[in-house]
Amino acid sequence: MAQLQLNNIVKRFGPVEVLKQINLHIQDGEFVVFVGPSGCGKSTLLRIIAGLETQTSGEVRIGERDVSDLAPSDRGIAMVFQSYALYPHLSVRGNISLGLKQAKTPQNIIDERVEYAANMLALTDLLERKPAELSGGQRQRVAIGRAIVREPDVFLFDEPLSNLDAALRSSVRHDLAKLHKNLNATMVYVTHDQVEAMTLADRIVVMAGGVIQQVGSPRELYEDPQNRFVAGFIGSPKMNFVPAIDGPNGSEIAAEGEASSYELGLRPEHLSLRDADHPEGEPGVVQFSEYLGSESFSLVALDKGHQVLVRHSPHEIWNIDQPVKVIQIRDGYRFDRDGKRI
Amino acid sequence: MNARSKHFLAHSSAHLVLGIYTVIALFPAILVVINSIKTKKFIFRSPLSLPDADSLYFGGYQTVFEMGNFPLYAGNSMTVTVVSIALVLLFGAMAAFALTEYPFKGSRLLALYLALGIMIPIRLGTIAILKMMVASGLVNTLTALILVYVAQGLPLAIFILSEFMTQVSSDLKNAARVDGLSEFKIFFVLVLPLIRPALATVAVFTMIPIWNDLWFPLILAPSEETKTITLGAQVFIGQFLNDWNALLAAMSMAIVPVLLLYIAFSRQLISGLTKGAVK
Repeated sequence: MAQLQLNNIVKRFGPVEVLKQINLHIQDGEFVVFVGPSGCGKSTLLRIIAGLETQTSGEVRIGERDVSDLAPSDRGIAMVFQSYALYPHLSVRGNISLGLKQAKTPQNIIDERVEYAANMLALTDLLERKPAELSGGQRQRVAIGRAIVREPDVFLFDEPLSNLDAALRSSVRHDLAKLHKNLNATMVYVTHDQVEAMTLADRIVVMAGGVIQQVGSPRELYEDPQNRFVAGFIGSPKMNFVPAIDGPNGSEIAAEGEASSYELGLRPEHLSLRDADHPEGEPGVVQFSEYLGSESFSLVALDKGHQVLVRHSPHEIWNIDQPVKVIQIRDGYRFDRDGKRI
Repeated sequence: MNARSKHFLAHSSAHLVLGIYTVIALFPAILVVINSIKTKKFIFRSPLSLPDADSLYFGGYQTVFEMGNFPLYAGNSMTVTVVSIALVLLFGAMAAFALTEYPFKGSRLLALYLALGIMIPIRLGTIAILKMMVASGLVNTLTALILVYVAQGLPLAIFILSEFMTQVSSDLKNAARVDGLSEFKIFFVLVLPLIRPALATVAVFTMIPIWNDLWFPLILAPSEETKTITLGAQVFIGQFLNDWNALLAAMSMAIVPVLLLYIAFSRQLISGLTKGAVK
């Protein structure tokens, strides 16, 4: 186990700069998730850590070593791929042990480690099967087993759950969380799914446009986003953004086309609905209402021209086209014109 | 008409078309085999009839084995074909892997240049090839034929194999790199088995023209020791008189090895090996 350090990583594909000066320090034993929209450079960064892609400039350090110019197999990493990437001609045992065989590990140690990994992942009965005879979840467990036996300093996961169906995804997610606890290993995980990011991560790295937007614990990112992108990206459904000005009683929503001094970010749970004759709040009309069992969401078109999504109790029933008032039950986040938090 | 009978109709009409094609394709070969075991009189009087007690005659085969040095010719053909296929597959796959796996400046241009050979028949260069072979002392050797056939087969091989190489999952190759496999091992152990169907296709396409070729053996290797089977069969064609029995017998026997090779390769055409590797 070891810490991982990225210093000034830059990656260019021709004239396109996909990673711009990435600096990141990942602690020993930490579970860090890279999250961001597709094309933000998160997978490229992971591949640079793995050594499958060479950085244009910058330094990758694992533990005390500079591994920037080492081959993937010499970096002390193991990687789990989105498509499992199992060797089709080898049995589960062969798949798991190939890396160790390549490294000329003695057979008794190979057997021991395969045994250990198979036990941990409930693969013992499947060891002699070929990948073609396994289900999707089993294949992904084999891929994880292949990573475990190498006893790497850093585990790398490249969207490992996105090929699994929803039910399986949450069960494998729990397995991964357990695995991290058992091995106490340094793990870097790439995903575009924020539920995976929020549930697994010690720290989340939000990326966009080749730049790290914010690094922090799931709670920090949700409650204290540093810019408009992070605020909008973390949280589902998305935060509402409306132009606003300072009024006598705090922020006031500016009407469409009117001058505004900043943008106000309001999460759906920061808002609440009242009847149209309520003395306070912004008047509007309900566009539609979604009942999700434990909660409900209503989209309201404000008279000032903006639309906001409001979370409310499933027992409150608001009908389509019903006039309502939207009140703020918590302060929103303010963002300047560049998207910076004020 | 319900869906089921419609399906049946579509099914059987497809089989009808395939059946007709099979008959057309097999007809000449079967005709050769049938007539090779008939007397000359019956070959001309009723070429389409099956051999019976009157017409049955194995004299042609006897002649071939007695006069024709036939096993040597067959051996030469086999050597040339098998070695050429092996080299075409090896070099073609290597070139395709390099072109698709390691893109470099001008790699697209190089791929295009290598594919150019598909459009230009190699026979146009016969005189230059002959001069080269004379200069290098390779005339009347099987090596000369093999070199020419490898050159002839490579363009199509690279073209087809590149297409298949790009379909091999890059995650799989990367997983192997993380596990410490060398690029050579990735190529031989992972990629080649996965594109076996493509290799079989290329092998079949390469094999037939080499086995059937008369042109280059005639020009580059006409000596008795290096004759191939197609060239060898020519001894039975005289200026005034053809030994039809022997000729047909030689041709029948020439079909057999190529048929066996084809069956061997076509079994590989059945894929399914890639299943389970990636989603």
